[in-house]
Amino acid sequence: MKGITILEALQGVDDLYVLKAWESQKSNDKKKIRMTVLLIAAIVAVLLFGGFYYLTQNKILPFDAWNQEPGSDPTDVVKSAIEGQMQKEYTQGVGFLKAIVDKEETERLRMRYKDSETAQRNGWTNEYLDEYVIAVFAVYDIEYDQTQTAQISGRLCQYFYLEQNPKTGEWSIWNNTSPESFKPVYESESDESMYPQPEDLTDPEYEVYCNLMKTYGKADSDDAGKLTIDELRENPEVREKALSLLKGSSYAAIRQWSDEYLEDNLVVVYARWSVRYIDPATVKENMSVDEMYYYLLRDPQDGQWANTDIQGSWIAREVEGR
Amino acid sequence: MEDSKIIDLYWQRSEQAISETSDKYGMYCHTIAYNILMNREDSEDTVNDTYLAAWNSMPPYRPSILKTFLGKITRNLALKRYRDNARIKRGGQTVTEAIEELESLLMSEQSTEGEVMAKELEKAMNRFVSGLPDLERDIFLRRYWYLESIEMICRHYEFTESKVKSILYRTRGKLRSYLQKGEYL
Repeated sequence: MKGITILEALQGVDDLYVLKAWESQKSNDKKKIRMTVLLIAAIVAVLLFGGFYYLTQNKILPFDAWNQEPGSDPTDVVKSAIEGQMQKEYTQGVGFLKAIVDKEETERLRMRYKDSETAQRNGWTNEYLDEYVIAVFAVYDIEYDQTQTAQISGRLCQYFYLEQNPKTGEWSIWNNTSPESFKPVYESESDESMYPQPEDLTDPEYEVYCNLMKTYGKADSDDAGKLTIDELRENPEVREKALSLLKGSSYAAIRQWSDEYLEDNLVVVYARWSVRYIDPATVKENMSVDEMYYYLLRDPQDGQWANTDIQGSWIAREVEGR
Repeated sequence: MEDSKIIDLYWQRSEQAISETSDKYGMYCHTIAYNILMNREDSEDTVNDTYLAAWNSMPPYRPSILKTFLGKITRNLALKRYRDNARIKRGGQTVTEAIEELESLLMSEQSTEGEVMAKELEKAMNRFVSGLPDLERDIFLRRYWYLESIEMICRHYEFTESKVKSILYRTRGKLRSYLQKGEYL
């Protein structure tokens, strides 16, 4: 592989990263200005309203720790933290739905912190990060009293970053802020029951649910589309066809997938979803309807499901003005 | 003029689209082309080719971010021209250095070129870039997407040369292990 191949492969980098890199200096300046303004605003607020107590009570400052119960199962720890929100006076209701260790985000998390200044500050070696840090992706319903907090209500999907204590083996959430939250949108409250609910999904179906959410369901972005997942289910027939094509193929051999491994661990999930978004060019609301078969494999070591590099067949894509 | 209006002009087949694009993004495209080619005349030709390519793509295409849409076309055309120029031994020093930096991390490895489809590598590179911390990602892209010189990056961030070089060295190391892990090397 030649250097120029990598230069050319960089052509596929997301536009937003390319744009941000170009404007990074400007945004750093803007950040500094914004930070200064925020700092002044915070000082004024402290002086005006009686200081820290007011700020923390009203969730203006982000010192709102999760009420978690550290334990040996990271998904249980996340569940305890989500349900622990009920202990806060501004929470009106909580419903935990599902949590899963997110392998892809775990990889990204480790890569982000390896050899970083944060890792040095916290005494994390690269080996430590590989062994004792993971990301969990959870989905839950929550209702906040919006007169007391600006946190987002509704159905949320969120990453939680956890660290394991090497001595006790207990996991706990170490990053108190979530980098992103995601939110599916339904036509109306009454329609919600028509759509797949995370707690009813099998693990591979849930893996696809998380993927769709991460791709389309960003809750706090102004230009994000509105995602509705219409259908999500395992498809045994397509699985059988895929198995007959994969077994004994060179495609499987290169990836070291034996026939037995495929038979025991391959699942095909069918998904249909729609995204409504404002077309920036026409300023009209458009809707795209997509259908896809996802091919997932379970890692026998940790039991986690992951999307494969088998290109899911894109069944239909329809864009219409509304 | 707003991007959406410029795009509308392309769709209406109005030649004003080109002049508006040139006014708003001409300098941006020229910088990208010049970083790669280091030659004013070649860069101007490349930017003009970019406008032509944009004209031919819209309609039917409607880019969501016009700026990076044009930037990508310019970069693609400039790299192609760089390849052509390299055949007759004239090209930009910065891009040659950038390629050498990337090749140095690959040299000791057995090549699997041919087994990896370009699209897969593109996706892998995007995943790699998305996993980088913000500053590291910005510097990496300024060096290898915009093909800026180390000196220019230092000036931009007010960093020392050794700091920029060490950030890039570390990122290339991560890239090597990432590509090895994905069996791209």
